[in-house]
Amino acid sequence: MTPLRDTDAGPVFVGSVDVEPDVAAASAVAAGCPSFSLDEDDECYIERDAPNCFNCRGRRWVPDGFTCLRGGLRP
Amino acid sequence: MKILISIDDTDDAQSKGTGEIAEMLGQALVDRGLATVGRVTRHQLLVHPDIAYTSHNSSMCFEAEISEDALDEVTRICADVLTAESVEAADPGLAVVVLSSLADAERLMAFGLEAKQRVLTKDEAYARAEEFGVHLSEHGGTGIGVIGALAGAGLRLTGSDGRYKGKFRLRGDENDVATVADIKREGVGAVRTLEGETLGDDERVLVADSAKLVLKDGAAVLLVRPLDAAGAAAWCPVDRKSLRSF
Repeated sequence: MTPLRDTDAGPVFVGSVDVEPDVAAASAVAAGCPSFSLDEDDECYIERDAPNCFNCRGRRWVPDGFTCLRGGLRP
Repeated sequence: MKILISIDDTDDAQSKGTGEIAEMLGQALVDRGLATVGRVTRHQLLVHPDIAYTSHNSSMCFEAEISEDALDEVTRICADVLTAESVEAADPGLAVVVLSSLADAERLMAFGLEAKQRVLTKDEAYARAEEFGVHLSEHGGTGIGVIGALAGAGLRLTGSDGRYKGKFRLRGDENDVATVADIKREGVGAVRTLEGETLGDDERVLVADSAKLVLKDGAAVLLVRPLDAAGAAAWCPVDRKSLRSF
């Protein structure tokens, strides 16, 4: 299940890069996302061999996770 | 003389990143024979709903060695490149710090550390820059990037914040193993564990992959973790996740 929290600013992915199921959930979202694009290497926190929201140029970090600037996170 | 050049808020979610633009600034100075430049460091600032940033809220800084009479030209070229390379939606800021004439290094560092803790304003940034004798300028949009630009310079000055942009290729032997002494000869200042233990020169590190370096105690530091299985090396570089807090 994708760890999303609804906010006024839209859905926030509140999973952790340190929690394997959360990383897997972000991977599943990115795999089906037409807007995914890999961020520059310096901003990637997991291996870059497969799409993952944690590594996407379109995610925007917020205090408790990240939002998607491209509308890729849906409850 | 040594200067710090720091920039922030140059990009959007599609454009080239601020780190790449920092490298372009450095290259523009080198190409014109105006400077020798060091590696770019990335400094994480506060992530907060009241701060306008693209995706990370980090600023980029590098050190340059220039002649005293080149300062105005260097500043102008940095401003020109920053203006040309930043996207229209960005709010770029530029700070240029002459280390030998910096009025209050401690307070500049404090400003940088403050920018990791609370929301600062443009007015505060300009006021501090004037007090410290630091060039601070905005180059488009709201110009809010001046806050991060000044903070980035302060954080770089602390010598213990952020990580170096790009990867550092380390040469090992036929088993991809290098001693700490070998690694230090490649320009790395020290090899340490995440817990802060500094490895001795004879320790052996697996360097099969390129590694990233962090800025710690004024040096480029390679962070390592113990290898699970005993072999030709006892250590390897930490993974990407571990660098997130730097």
